[in-house]
Parts: sequence; C-alpha cells; structure tokens
Amino acid sequence: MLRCTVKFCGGCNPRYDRGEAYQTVRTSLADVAGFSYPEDGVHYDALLIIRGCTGCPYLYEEIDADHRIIIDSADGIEEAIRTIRQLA
Amino acid sequence: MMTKDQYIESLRKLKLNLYMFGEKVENPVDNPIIRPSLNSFAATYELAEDPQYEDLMTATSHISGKKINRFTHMHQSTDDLIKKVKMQRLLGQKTAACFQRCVGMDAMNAVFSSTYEIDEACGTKYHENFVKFLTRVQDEDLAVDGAMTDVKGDRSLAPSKQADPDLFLHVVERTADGVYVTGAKAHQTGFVNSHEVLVMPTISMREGDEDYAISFAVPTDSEGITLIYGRQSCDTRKTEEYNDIDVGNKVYGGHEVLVIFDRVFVPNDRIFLNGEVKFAGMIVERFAGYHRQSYGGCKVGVGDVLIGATALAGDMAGSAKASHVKDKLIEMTHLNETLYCCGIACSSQGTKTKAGNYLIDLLLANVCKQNVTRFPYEIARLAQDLAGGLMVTQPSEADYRNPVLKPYIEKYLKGVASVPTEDRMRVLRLIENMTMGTAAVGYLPESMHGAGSPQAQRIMIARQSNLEMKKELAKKIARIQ
Repeated sequence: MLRCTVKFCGGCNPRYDRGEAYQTVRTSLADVAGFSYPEDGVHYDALLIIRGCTGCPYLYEEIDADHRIIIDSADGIEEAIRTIRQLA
Repeated sequence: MMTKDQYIESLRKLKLNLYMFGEKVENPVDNPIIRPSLNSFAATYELAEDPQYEDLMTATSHISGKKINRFTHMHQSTDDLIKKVKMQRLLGQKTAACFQRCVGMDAMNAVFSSTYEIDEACGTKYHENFVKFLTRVQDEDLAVDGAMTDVKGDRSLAPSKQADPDLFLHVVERTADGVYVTGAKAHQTGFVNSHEVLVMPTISMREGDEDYAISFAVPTDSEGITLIYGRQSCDTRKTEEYNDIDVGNKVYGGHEVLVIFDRVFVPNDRIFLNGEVKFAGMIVERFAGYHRQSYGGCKVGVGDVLIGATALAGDMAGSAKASHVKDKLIEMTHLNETLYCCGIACSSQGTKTKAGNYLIDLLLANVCKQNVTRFPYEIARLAQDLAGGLMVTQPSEADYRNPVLKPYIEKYLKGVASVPTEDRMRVLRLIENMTMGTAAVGYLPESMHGAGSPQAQRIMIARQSNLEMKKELAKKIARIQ
C-alpha cells in the first residue's frame, strides 16, 4: 500500500468542491493507497495537493514525499487517480 | 489552538457588564439576538481546525514557532498579507456576515510595529509589554477586540479642548502600578465575543493631549467597563416564534457595542503608549491601513454570497437567461473582484517594518477601502433590482406556517414550477437580510464607515499620491523646462 498524504489550499475561492475531490480520490484508490493528514517527521510515497483554483503556488516543501500530485480543477481528479495508481 | 467548543465555553466564563434593550444580559452566549454574531466569530476557530482551510486559517508564530490561528499572527511576509485577505474572503463566504476577529488582528499588527519604533525613539518599554501580551494571546488563542473609535464630541475641537473631557478616552489618574482611564469607544465590533480589548488612540494628537495618547489592553470584563448592545434593523425577528425564514441568515451575524470605560485600571505592563503624542498618529495610520486592506477580503466573501443569492433568485423566477440579468450578475462580479484585486494588490506591495512584521502598501490599502465605500452599495442595488419587490413584500413565515394561508402562498409565490416556494422565500429573505436587514449593518454602513469614513481615505490618498512626481512626468513629456 502506498502511504499518501493530502494538503488543501486554504480554499478562499475554490472552483470545485475540494473535500469531495479528496473523497473521490481516496475511495477510488482504497485498494492501493492509504491517505492521512501530514505529520511531522513522516515520509510519504505521495503528497496529493488539492488546490481550489490554478492561482495557488504552494508545493508544501516541508512535507517529505517522493511524489507531488496536484489537482487544481475538477477535470484533474481522474488524472490524479491514474497517476497515483501507476505509482503503486 | 482553541477548538470552537472551547472558545464558546471560554466566553461563558466572562462576566461582561452588558445591556440590551434596557436590560442587563446575564447570558450573552445563549441570547438569540447575540448568538449569530458569536457563531460568526466561532467560525474563525472552527475553520482553523479543518484541514481543508488550515493553510489560510493558521500560521507559524514568529515568537514560539508553534502553529497558531492566523488572527493572532504578526504577518511575516507579503505572502502572509495575501493569505490574510484570502482567509477573510473565505470567512465572508462561510458566514455572509462580519466575523469580527479582524479588528484585533489589525490592531495587534499596528501596535506591534509602532511600539518598537516608539521605544527606539523614546527609550520606553512598550514593545516588551506588547510582546508579552501577544505571546499570551497566541498561546491561549484569545479573541481580541481592537478599540479605536472615540465618540469624539465636537469634531472641531481637539481631545483636550472638549467641553466634556471624557469624549475621548483618557487617563484620569496615574499611580505607581498603572493608570485609570475614562471615556467611551463607539461601534465596537465583536467586543461581546472577545476575551481582551486592545485600546488605541483615535486620531493624531498634539502637545496638550498627553492624557489622551494612551494605548493598552485589558480583559473585556474588567471592572468599570459597561457595554450597550447596538440595535440592528430587523433584530427582533430572531426572537419571534417562527424565526427561520424571515431572518434570512439563521446561523450567522455580527454586532457592535458602545463600550464605556469608567475608571478602568490598566497595569503598567499592559500599557503600550502613554503620553507620547507624536506617535498616536502612527498607530492610527497603521491600524487604519491594515483594516482598509481587510475589507478587500471580508466584504468580497460576503459579496460572493450575495451574488450567489441573486443568481439563485433569477433561477427560481425563470429569469436567469434574460440578457440584462446575466449582465447585471457580471457587473456585480466585476465590482466584487475589483475589491479583491485591491486587497491582494496592497498586500503584495507590503514592506517589512523595523519590528519585523509586514505592513501593507498604505496608498493601495486606502484605495481599496475607498472602493469598498461604494461598490457594495452598487452590488446591493443590483441584487435588489434582480430580486424584485417580493423580497420586501412577501408574507411572513408565520403566515406561511398557517394552514389556511400556506396553500395560497405556495400557489401564488411560485416561480419556476420545479422550485419549492419555500426555497424562493428563503433566498429572497437572505437578500433582504444582506441589503436591508441585520447583515446589511456589516455589508453596507460598515463598508462606508468601518476602518474610517470615505474622507479619511481621501486624506491618506492625497498624502501619498506623489503628485509632484506626476507633474514632473507631464513636464518632461510636454517638454516644459
């Protein structure tokens, strides 16, 4: 199982439901990846960054992860699922 | 950080001397008129707990290195200033009301940098006092009210020249341990929901006004403080038997109070300015600048809800495809996003103060607020235009709940057949609430006068407009020697 974590942008003006997107990704990848919120000192296989729009620049460098997968629109959810599945 | 529930419980411990409608309020937390404002304030705690919003709602303390609520943070970069505006937009979207905690954040950032520079010039220890206070606020995640606006009496007279010396808050007695202050602060947003009040002078001062150049922090339930709750239009709808549809926004709201200080004692280590008249203006200017930036976030978030409600009203009436409806919604969006542009712009052009926190670009912050004194009114006008007269003529919820009348109301207030009549009534009441009811206090007159009335921004814009440089530019192009 991949050890994955998630970071949301702050959500000032999201173009889609970021919480729903996260649930979709989690559910779709339940067989290959486990998700939790980031903890200090923990290494993750993948960091899923869920941005509400394309204007958010943060990559959360303080989180130790081999891969960073970004969703910044509803259209990007399926691609993120495919990318994480390929890592498994 | 405190959770939402811990915050609410902490308010129950305050012994506020609060009056409303002529009577003492023994339990503000559960009072139906006050509770919506508490809920808005509590949202600043609730969202900070949610991973979906923590990136905006929290920051890292420059003092302790710990995660803190952004409302207690000293901005450490222009990125922090931008995140502040985004956080305010977010909270405006979630509450459709004034969530009240910005004023304390803005006051703390202004006093933090000002005290550093006062100490540098005067050899005082105000910054040390303030950092001690701030450390406690951050560690305990306290709610702080920022109190600036004095009642001012005769506007043509200086504080020390007023017929009644108490019309500007001032020191009435000095002891070895501290000072006693008397006076009143008007329009105090969120005071009832705050643990501490940070008091600042209201205007620049001159020699002779030393007793009025005072800044300090005390608990909101200090002996000698009396609060009189501000009346809002339609406020008693919250106490009616049927108080769901007609209030427009059942959960959230805002409040202001008149705060009277009658010989309130301030210990020495809680004093941040005490007689240094030439620095009163610095605190005022910085606080006003931060607060004028704030309105480029919070009012935009509230505007988002109003635009959404107006679009829904169009959908429910079957008018959504009319070209003028679409165009008016575009205009509302254009105005709203223009305010946001100003909030982001003055943040991105911020600079580091000597104390280390960041200050917004004051010219752009004043331009931001000047637009805020106008655009929400136009957005509200367009909302009322598109909502139609039913917004203010529809029957009450009590009529709607009457079994004899309900079928008539269901039948004749129906718009698009698939939309329940009750839904249409709800969205129209929301528009009424935001443009004429309790929430209009925060969205309209507060946009006009909060953080300073329009003329105050124009004075600041004139001061910083760099007109001589502009003249030189014109001379050069026109080839004038």
